[in-house]
Amino acid sequence: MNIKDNSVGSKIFDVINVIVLVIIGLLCLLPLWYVLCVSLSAKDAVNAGLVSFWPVGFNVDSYKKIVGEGAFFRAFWNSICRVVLGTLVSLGCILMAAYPLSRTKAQFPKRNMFMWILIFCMLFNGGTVPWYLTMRNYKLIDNIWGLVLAGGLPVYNVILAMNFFKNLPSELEEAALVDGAGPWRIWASIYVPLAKPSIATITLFTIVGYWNEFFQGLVLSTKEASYPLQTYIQQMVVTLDYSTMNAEQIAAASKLNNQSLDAAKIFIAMVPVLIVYPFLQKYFVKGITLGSVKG
Amino acid sequence: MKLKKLLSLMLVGSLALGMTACGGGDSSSSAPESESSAAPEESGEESSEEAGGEEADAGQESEAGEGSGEGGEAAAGDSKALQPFAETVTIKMGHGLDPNTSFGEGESLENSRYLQWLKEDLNIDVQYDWICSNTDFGQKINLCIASNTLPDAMNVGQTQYLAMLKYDQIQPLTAAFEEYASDRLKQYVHSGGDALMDAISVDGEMYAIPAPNLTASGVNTMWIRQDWLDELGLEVPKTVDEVFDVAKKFVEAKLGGDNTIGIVGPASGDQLIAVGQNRWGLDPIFGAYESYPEYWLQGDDGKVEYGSVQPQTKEALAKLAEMYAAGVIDPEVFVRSDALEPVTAGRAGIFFGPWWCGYTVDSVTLDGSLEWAAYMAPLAGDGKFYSPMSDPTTQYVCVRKGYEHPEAAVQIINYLIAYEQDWINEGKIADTSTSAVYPLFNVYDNADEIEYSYEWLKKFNMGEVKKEDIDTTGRKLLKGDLDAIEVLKKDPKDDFSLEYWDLENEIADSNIPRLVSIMVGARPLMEEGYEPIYNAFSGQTDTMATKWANLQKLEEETFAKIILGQAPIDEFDNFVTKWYAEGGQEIVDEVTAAVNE
Amino acid sequence: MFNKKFLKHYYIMLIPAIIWLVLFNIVPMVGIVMAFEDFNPGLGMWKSPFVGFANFEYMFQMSDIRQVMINTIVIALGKIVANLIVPLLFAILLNELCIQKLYRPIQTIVYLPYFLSWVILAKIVLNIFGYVGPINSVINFFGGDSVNFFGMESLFRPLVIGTDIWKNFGYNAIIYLATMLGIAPELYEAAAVDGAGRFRRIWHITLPGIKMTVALLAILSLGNVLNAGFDQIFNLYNPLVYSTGDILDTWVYRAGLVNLQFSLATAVGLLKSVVSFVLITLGYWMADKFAGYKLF
Repeated sequence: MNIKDNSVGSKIFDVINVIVLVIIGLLCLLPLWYVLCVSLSAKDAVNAGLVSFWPVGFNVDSYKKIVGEGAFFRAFWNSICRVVLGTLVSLGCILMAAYPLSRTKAQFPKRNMFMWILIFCMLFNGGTVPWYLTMRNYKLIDNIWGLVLAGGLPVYNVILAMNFFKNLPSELEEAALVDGAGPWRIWASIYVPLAKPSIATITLFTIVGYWNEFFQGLVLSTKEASYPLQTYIQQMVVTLDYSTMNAEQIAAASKLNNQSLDAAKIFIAMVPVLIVYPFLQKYFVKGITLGSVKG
Repeated sequence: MKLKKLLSLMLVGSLALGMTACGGGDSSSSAPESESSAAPEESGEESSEEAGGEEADAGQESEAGEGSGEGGEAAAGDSKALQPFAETVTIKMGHGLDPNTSFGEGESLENSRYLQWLKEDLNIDVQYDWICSNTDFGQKINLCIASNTLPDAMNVGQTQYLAMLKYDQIQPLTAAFEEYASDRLKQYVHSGGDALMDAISVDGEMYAIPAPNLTASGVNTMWIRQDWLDELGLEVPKTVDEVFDVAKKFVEAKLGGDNTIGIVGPASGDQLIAVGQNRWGLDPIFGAYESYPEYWLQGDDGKVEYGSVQPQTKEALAKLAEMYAAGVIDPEVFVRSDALEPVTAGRAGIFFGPWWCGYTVDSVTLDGSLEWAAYMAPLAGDGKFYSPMSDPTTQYVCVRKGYEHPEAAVQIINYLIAYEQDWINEGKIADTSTSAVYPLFNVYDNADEIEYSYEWLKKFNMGEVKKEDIDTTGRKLLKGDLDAIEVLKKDPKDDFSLEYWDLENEIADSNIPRLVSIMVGARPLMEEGYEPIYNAFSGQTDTMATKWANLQKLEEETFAKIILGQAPIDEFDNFVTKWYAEGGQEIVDEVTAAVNE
Repeated sequence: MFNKKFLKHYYIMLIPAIIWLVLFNIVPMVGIVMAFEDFNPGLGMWKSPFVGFANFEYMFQMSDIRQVMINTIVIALGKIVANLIVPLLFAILLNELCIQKLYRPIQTIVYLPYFLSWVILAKIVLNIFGYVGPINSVINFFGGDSVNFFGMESLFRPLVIGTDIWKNFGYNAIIYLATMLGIAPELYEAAAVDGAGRFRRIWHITLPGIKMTVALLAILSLGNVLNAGFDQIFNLYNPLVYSTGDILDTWVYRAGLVNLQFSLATAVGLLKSVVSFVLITLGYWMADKFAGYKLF
């Protein structure tokens, strides 16, 4: 809050605060910096564990190599499609469902029942095997809609959206009611626009949820061409069990082992995340005047 | 969401050994269709020549090399091994593909030259139910087992094999194997002896076609920095105390800098001791006390004992604790994220592993910087090296119950065995390897491949035999190895130090790691000898199903704490008492009964 | 204000979500029967032998189950509490940041570790706390002996909780920051006019403004009381720290390596779900009873 406060205590607090936050920021930059350094280092130096927080044997071979890898970009594209479709579908369902659920019991007598059904679905599941068989029956294998729908409704986000809606002042709604607005108009012209920072948050959570998910991607794909990016990346970084391999496989693995290339892929996979967040931050704006109502 | 992810991880992670054998099943190896159209014997030979012709179109002009003749010979010897089906037979598979695999121009896994050849020569149409990365293969196949959606044929590890057996998901293969397996394949399978047969059979019926493990891979030897030994003017250590002493001198001399590690041990996720090949383990130090943890040992009286709870194990642990306290064993043993790092960074003096560790240290070998050599050490009090051996196989080719043409899977293997050597020799598959791409690929070889290769490479290298006089039949890599050693080995021929290899040669990168693995890594097996110790039991008893995980945890925890000095050595006695009390005794009785059955 | 005409529309608004739930969450739940079976995939879910509560009995008969449960709950609770408080503190500090230009860069940076999986982060963490890592270098510089951080029972839990926060706090703070943006600036201005200092404004305006969100997140996170984080612990633990670090999920994993345990895994999953459900219900009821919060 940028309220002028010139007391000495406040000044000291400001200085310490900036220092603390910058240090915290650097600590969080560490892992990404490490990945970047590895991706820019020589392969053998990485295997010898010589790379810590500065590239050893600087080169950009890994990045050059990625450019030629169709599979990486196909997976990248799959992820983009998944995120875009998924966010649209999921956000629509979440925001629509959150509105009736944010009504009071007097306005919507069955709301509690639906609420508890949601909570139940959030906590219980039947495990991978029946889930996989269900998806097979739905013909959602190797299908972008499988990647979008198979995870089920993100109930956690519905609850967050409902909570945000509940916190909006009821006066605005009442005014609209007087104007003769129906529930759809109230939802579309009051609730959704007013909850902008909250919707930005939920959008972010939805995007991140789709972007980071790798296990469903593995189970629901029968070929690499349908992998989303994180499944593609996960398969590289999981270590091989040498004890069950034969000599030729070991030879092949040691020849292909390229942590520097893997790191480059991980780093590139972070780029969309780096773009999306600052973009959404634009909607993290103050100034919606609810002050007179809530406190 | 988190919950779901976790559960799924758990589920797929939790597939493992089952043991109850549901024998029999419906022996569905029904009379194959192709039998009705039994082609004449020559057809095998014809097809092989056809294949030769086809390949010549694809690759260079190939003279009918000695290898191709062999293939024909093998085919002619057993009528049905490579006899094409009258009607196209479709076989579905799953495949774990290394994401970095390279393919020939315009090829992919589903459209590789191998599949074309199989189609043309055998009339087998290989299709893929799914393709995933090799690291995900286990998860994928586990999911197939759990959801009963198995592909027609698959190549799996012991864990999955036992599970599918338990759940009655695979069919007996004896009939298909007897009728269709080529003589070479039969020879390989029989080279594993009764132990191998037992591992793949239930009530006399084969349920898998195994790839025999290389005998040499089970022997973990001592790899040591020869250049450090030379620098300090030390002899190669033989006994435990000598190894201790040498490692201590390495550390004191700071040959690898301030943080020099005398002996590398298992990192996080590695095994201290294991059945079979175990890179980074400390098994040989246990072996020096004739202690064989994790192994079931049968005495002359038929009684079976578990190696981990024997008094010899206590002696070995006491010595390891002493070594750790003296700063000789990696201070971060069990915790370190990767044991390879200090080894290739030149900070470590000794580690233990099998012959193929020549590949492990290939980067430092190829740049000529670090000199690793392998020896049989430490020796036991009686001067012998006792080596616990690995199980006879870890790779099983199985066929789904209800699939009509199990012989197609057998033929695919026959075909690989018959022609792989030709393909390599004739350069037809230089741009796409069999190990990554060929369906149901395994190394089908004699269990003694490494010993045989060492013997002849050595003789040839010393000029004792001519290349033409060496029998390379069925030894698919030996010919290439002979060519490579001829080019790469400099004088003096009997000194395998790095300076006497031609590391600058263009073929060095692809050949040195293997040659070093054989000539340096397998040398002690051949020249110094060892006493093999066999595991008497590798199955699972009823009590094991419920209590084994707990006993293993107890063992791992106790051993690790004793070595690091976090628990006194006498904690071992408590461990033994507890081990027997918490189900160990019952398991010993059950195993004894099972072994003496 | 009950409006009957609206009711129909409320149902229509819920329909897409309900269809999605039924098809993709509820239908696969039939798999829960596996928890009460000795599941045999060859026979299928409906023909596998029914064993009642045998899988649960097996779980509670294990001699180390007590220790494993304690580890799980201690680590999970530590994470729950820390993951509520640390992001909250961070959000407040960031909210008070006087240099606006730093606000977005810091907010973006702190959420980056969330996107790296534990397979990668574990390697970084082990290196940082390793013998030649920066932390031991500092200790050595001040004359101390190197500490084997991840080899000590007593340090394992704090390290796991600490590194988990490091990975997640930036991401968890987003929701608080978004909520704080909903607090009207007028309130701060009014308080400033009244002469309230910095800390009093935080105390009297910021915190009350987000208390409902904090309470909601707290109650939802109760659902994780048996989830101590398999990915993280599996990549960081070793036999030396079994006594403080072996959790329910790693325990099931190792049991599964010995013997096929589909049913056990399902049973453990069901147990976790039931415990979560009970705790969340309890939390909901208590928030209502003692604070008058209707959280969902």
